[in-house]
Amino acid sequence: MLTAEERDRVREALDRAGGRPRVVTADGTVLDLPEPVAEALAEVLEAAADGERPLVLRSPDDLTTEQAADVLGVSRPTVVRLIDAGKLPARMVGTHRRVTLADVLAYRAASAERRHEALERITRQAEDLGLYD
Amino acid sequence: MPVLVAVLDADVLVPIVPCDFLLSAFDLGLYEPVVSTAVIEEVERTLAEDFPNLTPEAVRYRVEAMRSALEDQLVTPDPDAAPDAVNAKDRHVVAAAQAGEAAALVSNDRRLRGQVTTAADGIDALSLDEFALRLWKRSPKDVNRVIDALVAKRQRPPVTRAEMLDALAGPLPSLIAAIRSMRESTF
Repeated sequence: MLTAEERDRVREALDRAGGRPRVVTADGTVLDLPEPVAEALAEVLEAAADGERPLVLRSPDDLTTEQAADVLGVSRPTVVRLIDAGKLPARMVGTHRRVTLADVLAYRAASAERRHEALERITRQAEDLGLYD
Repeated sequence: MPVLVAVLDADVLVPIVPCDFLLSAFDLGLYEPVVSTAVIEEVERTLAEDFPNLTPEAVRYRVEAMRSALEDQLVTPDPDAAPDAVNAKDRHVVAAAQAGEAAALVSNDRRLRGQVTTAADGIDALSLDEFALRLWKRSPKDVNRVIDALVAKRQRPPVTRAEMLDALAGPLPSLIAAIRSMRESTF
């Protein structure tokens, strides 16, 4: 984790780059980065400045359960539970479970939708029944 | 920051506004709840007792929505795995914490918290207010997002942020004091 001072430094760098980071080489040459790379780098800096742990995934295939947990914002035991319950497809590589990023993102979207819908129902019913009064 | 896994006792899911806070904080990724089927059943029983004006259908509707929101957070605990020092009727809560590898147990039952502190290594027993304050200390910005989300959800009638803080001040006094003191020092 970054210290508060380090986070401030990252924030300042991001602000001064105008949200579009570039690379400056040792001899002072400024190198523009392709748009998607600059955007990804800005995301990493933004997360770091917010005190979060940036996560870079290079391969869309074969996430470990630990990486899947990071993407989902849950603990690793929860990912294992989801796999065992058949809610997250997985395959075995040797003795390790592997999941695809596509499956993890599909699960994340579906579970978020279900949760939002449930929370909406809870609030509407509480309002209708005067439970907030 | 590693995700904070917390088992929720029934008594923190029954009061209406604190329950909204816990579910919204989960929805926005501030922590990961763990609950057992027994806890959900206890919520249903207690709601019926505490809100005698609610029909059984209304109670069931609310609990089914909660169950849906928490569907993938349900664990099947083995009460025999809980330490002997824990009161028999609460063993399932501690066992759920063990099954879900939770770092925190959130309960407003002082006696249960005392038993967990004494007998269950690695599980922090916190009142709902202490838990909310811990979330705040981890990320004030995210807790403010939760408050904003709670305000945005309310439509009939709409509520202001100040009214929401007032509604939460009873069950979450330390959190709300921290939020208010930060706003005062900011402005």
